[in-house]
Formats: sequence, C-alpha cells, structure tokens
Amino acid sequence: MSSPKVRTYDVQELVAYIQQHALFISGITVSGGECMNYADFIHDLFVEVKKLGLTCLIDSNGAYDFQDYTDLLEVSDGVMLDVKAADEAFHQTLCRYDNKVVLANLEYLQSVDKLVEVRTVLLPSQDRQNTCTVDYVSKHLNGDIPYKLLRYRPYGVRAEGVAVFGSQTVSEADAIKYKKIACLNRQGPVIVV
Amino acid sequence: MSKVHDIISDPTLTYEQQVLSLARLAENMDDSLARDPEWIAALNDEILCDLGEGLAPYRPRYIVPDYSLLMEKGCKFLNLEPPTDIWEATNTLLIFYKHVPSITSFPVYLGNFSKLLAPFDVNANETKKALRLFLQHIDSTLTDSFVHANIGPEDNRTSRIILELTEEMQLAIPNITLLYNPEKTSDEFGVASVKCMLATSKPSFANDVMYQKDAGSSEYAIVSCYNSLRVGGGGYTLPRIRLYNASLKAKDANDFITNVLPNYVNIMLTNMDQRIRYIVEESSFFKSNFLVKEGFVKQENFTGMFGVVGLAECVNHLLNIDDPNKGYGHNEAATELGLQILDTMHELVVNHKGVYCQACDDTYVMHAQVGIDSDGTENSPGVRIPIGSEPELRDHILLEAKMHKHFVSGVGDIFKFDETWVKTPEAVLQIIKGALASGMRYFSGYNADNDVVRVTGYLVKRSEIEKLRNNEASLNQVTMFGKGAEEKGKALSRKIYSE
Repeated sequence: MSSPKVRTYDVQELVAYIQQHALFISGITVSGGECMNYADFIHDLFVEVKKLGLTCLIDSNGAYDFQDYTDLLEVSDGVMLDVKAADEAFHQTLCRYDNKVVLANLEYLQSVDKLVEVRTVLLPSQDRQNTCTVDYVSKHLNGDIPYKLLRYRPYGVRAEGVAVFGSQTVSEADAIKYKKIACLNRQGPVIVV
Repeated sequence: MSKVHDIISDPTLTYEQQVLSLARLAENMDDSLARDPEWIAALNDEILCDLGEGLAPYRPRYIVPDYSLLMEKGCKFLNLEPPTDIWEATNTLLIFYKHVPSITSFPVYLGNFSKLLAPFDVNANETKKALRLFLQHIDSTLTDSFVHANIGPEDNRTSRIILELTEEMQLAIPNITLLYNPEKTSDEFGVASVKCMLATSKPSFANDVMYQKDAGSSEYAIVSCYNSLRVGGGGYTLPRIRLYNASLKAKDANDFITNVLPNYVNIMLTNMDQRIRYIVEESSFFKSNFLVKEGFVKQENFTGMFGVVGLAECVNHLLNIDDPNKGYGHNEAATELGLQILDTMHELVVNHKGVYCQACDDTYVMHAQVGIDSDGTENSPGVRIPIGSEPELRDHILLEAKMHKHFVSGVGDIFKFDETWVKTPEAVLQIIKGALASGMRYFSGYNADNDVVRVTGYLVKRSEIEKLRNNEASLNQVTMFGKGAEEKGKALSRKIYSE
C-alpha cells in the first residue's frame, strides 16, 4: 500500500465512485493481482453494483475453485479466465501452484454458463508449451466464448518474470500460427491481442 | 491596394470565392440598415460581433426548407415533378439545393436523408450507386462545410448505405448529424455511426429527446455547425456576444451580472430586432422567393439566434483565476458563476419580445457559437472548457452538460479519441449515451489521426489546409476558417482521450 496510486475503499465508497461513472459504462470488471483473494468483498460489491443496472465481471487466474463460490457467481455476469499453461509441471514452475483447479474451472464455469472469455499469454521461446496450451484450451472451449491469445510483452512484467522470459516479444507471425492451431479445434472466435 | 484588387489577385481564392467576396464588399458599402451608436461602439470594442452578416442582409442567415414537400409535390418554380425513383429523387434535391440561399450562399440544410431517400431505396446496389454520385456532387459543388444533412433517429438501410459511403469516400462535405434517441435509435445503428465517426469525423450525435421537447409538435433539424432550427423555417440572424471581452468592462462579478451583461444583451437584442425587420420588410426574400411562395419555408417558423462565446474566460477573469487549469471546468465557484451568467442571460433573452418569430413564442433562441478564427484563444467557443485545460473525459462531459440547458438553438463540444477506441465502438456509444442522458445536447467526436477533422464545429481536410499554406486554392471555402482556427485558436489541439 505504499504506492500513491493505491487507495483502500470500503464497499460503500467504491459503489459511490462507480455510481458517478454509471452513465458512461455498461459494467465493471474486477481484476488484480488476483481479485479472488477478496471474494467476500467482490460479492458485496457486486450485489450493490447490480442495483445500478451494470454488469459485473471477474478477471481471474482460476487458482480458486469456483465451485466453492456459487453465491458470488450468482451475482456475477461471468468470469474472464486466464489459462497460463496446460502442462501441469510447466504450470507449477510458472505459477508455483498446479493447474488442476484452473482446468477444472474451465469446465465448471462453462457448465454453469459463467465463462465469458479465456486468455492465454503466448510466451517467447516456449513453442512447445504455447502449442500445448492453445491446443488444450481450444479443444475444451465451447460455442461462442472468445479465446484471446495475448502476445507476451515485457512492459509491466516484474523483474523476476523478465529474468525468465527476457525483453523479447512474441512476433505477430508466431501468434497467428497459434491462432491457426486454435481455429482447427473450434468454431468460436480466436483473437490475437 | 484596393480591397477589390486584393480579392481579384488572391491566388488562394477560387473564382466562386472571389465572386462571393466581391458581393460581400458591395453589401458593406450600404447604409440602409438601421444601426444604433451603442451597437457600433460594441462592435468596435469587439464585445459584440455580427458574424459576417454585414450591412445589408438580403436573406435569412440559415434557411431550413421542408424537403418532404418537395418530394411530395415537386417545385413549380424549378419545374420539378415529384420524384419516382432514387435517381429522380437525388437529382431533384441537387437542383433544389442550388437555389437555397444562406449567409454563405450554400444551403446549410440538405434534409433528413434517412427519411427523404428511404422511400426510393428499392434496390441496395442501385441506391448505393445513386448515393455515391449524390454525395460526390454535393462535396464538389456545395463547397462549404456548413452544408449539413441529418440521419435517424430510426435505423434503415438507406442510413446504413450513407454511413458506408461516408466512411469510404472520406469527404468533408456535407456535415452529418445523427438525431439520436435511445428509445428510437438501435444500438446497432449507434455503433455503426460511432465507427463511421471514428473513421471520418461524422456523424455527430444530437440529443433528439431534448431538441424534440423544445420543438414541441414541430419538426426541428440540425443545420450549419450544430444549430437547431425549425424545419420549414430557419434563423434570420446570429450576432454574438464575446463574454470575455464584456467581462473586461465590469468591476466585479456582481457588476457584470447586474449591469454590464444586461446592457450588452439589450444592445444585441435591439440589433436583432432591426436586422430581422430589415430582412422581412426591406429585402425581397419573404415577398418573392419561391421557397416562401411555394411554402417550403414560412416566415413564422424563423427566429433570431442569440450567439454566445467565451463563457470560460469570462468566468475565469471575474474570479481572478489566471491559470485555466484551476478555473472553469475545474472548480465549483466557476461552475456556479457560469450557470448564474447563463441563467441571467436566458431571462433577458426570453423576456424580450422578438419580432417575426411567432412559432417560437415571439422569443429569440440562445446559441453557443463555435467561435471564429479572430476570437483567438481569448474566447473559447460557446460554453466549452478551453483547449489545453480539459479535465478527465467524464468530468468534461458532466460540467458542460450542466451548461447546455438554455441553448435550444444549439451547443456542443468535440471529443478527440485515440485509435485504441476504434476497437471498442460500443464503449464510445455508451459514453455518448451517458453524455446525452446527462443533458448534453450535442456530441462530436473524431479520431486524432483522421484527414477529415472537426475544427470547432465544421469539417475540413488537413490536406486542404496544407494547400492554402502552399498558396494554392481550396475548393471548400471553409478550409480558410479551419486554417485560421488552427493557427490562432489551436482548434485542432483538443486533448486526446485515450483509454
């Protein structure tokens, strides 16, 4: 909380702030860090924000099992889910927790109609892992739910991340290659960002 | 050098622009229009301004013909039968446009294209071909950016074809406004209009709910920059008060509101009475012009427009605020004083019994004028926050929306977006909806990278401004205003809103 940009709000204060902008937006998305660290807060916030006629989305890395948060999902319009890696060991190295819950969330959120978008960050020099993740997600994603492929860029990445992935980006040509893999597996939209 | 010689030797003027300039010179040698010494003194002090209307007005400033009558009955004077297909309809309109006078000598209103042309839109390909030629003809013969068409509020195929062609053809003329009404305008049509606006700086969005409420059972249209006037009527005259210059005559805010402002408002209202009488009683327009004789316009549907510029600088001066970033748009006291000035002015204007404006309850209507290049940076357009001191987008909109209430004859601002918004036109539409729901009467936007750009209220091409700089002529006679506004008023430097 040392950054001057960080401020603490209680639900009431945050709702008042959102209300001032309500005419100009269609909804809110809570992100992070990992917003699910504050699931109770989000629940109370969404209850109030829904009263303003706005949509409420959760932007999550999927580390928490959403089956344990049915009350929250009920007041939410859906989850935008990050799937960082399909390979269990690689995910463990990358995130220091395993991906079983993430992949279970991918299935569960679809089964309760609360998945609005899935994203995968395409990593530099990780062709095998990128291919594996894109292939897995695109095979497990139904209908019209958009799948976004985000090209890794070093901006805003913590020093420890840059130490692993360097200052390179993933080229647009490579990104399109992964998009083609995804498009072979599914009819729904695949978007390179 | 004589003024005549200056005009005929100017390489940046086209032949038509020279003819108009010479005509204007001749008008201003006349002295048959009554003018009070107080008006002349205020003109010399640059507190009041006649906005180029000169000394012998021989037509109303803005004429808003009822084109539905033309479609229904044709025009006897021009030997036009009622059109029966898209080719006849566009041809009939093009002929008619060339006979609609205005202060600029070009028609400031071309009609509501969605409504006028939809009955003839039988085959989409045929309509597109006809409208492409129609728009091209307009751009290269009605060579003035104050030429203005309306679309909406309801969606139809004709409107979509116009949006497609507008985006594709990238023309500065005509200006286009979507009459936006959340009850009548679909989100799909709204988003398509936003996409077109980000690609080519038009259409703008007019608050149909507010303007229709003001117009009651009459039909209104958005013409010229963004003037709201009655269809089948128009605006006789548009003099302006430069509020900043007026504020220099006041001891303090109280003196301004109780003495200085009423004095100048009354001088301007008297001049409007005199000018309107001259147009109606002396000039031949309302006696013999075919537009009047055949009922395309009716004298009683005209009114006078009371123009206002420089509220921001006026308020800042009266509150002794030197830094505009701390003034109007950024503090409560400035907002309060701004509202108080507008309320006072509105009272004075509506309590004055106007002449020859029966359909507007015998009153003149307030208009927040977009400024002219000679205003420099000391009088911002209308009630806008000055260029260079714009607050955050939402605050910008909400502050100005408060100021729009009294301007039944038009007010608006321009919002410049960066290219990231092109990917999310839905978000831009939501902002526009919010702005209009907050009481903003008119919203214009453009993408910072466009060639067709909006200067204060009209469209010009940057590439055409470059022509003038290179001492070449520009077909659009408004390009020179755009060049002046950019150089003297920094008009293209409005803050770019990024995500």
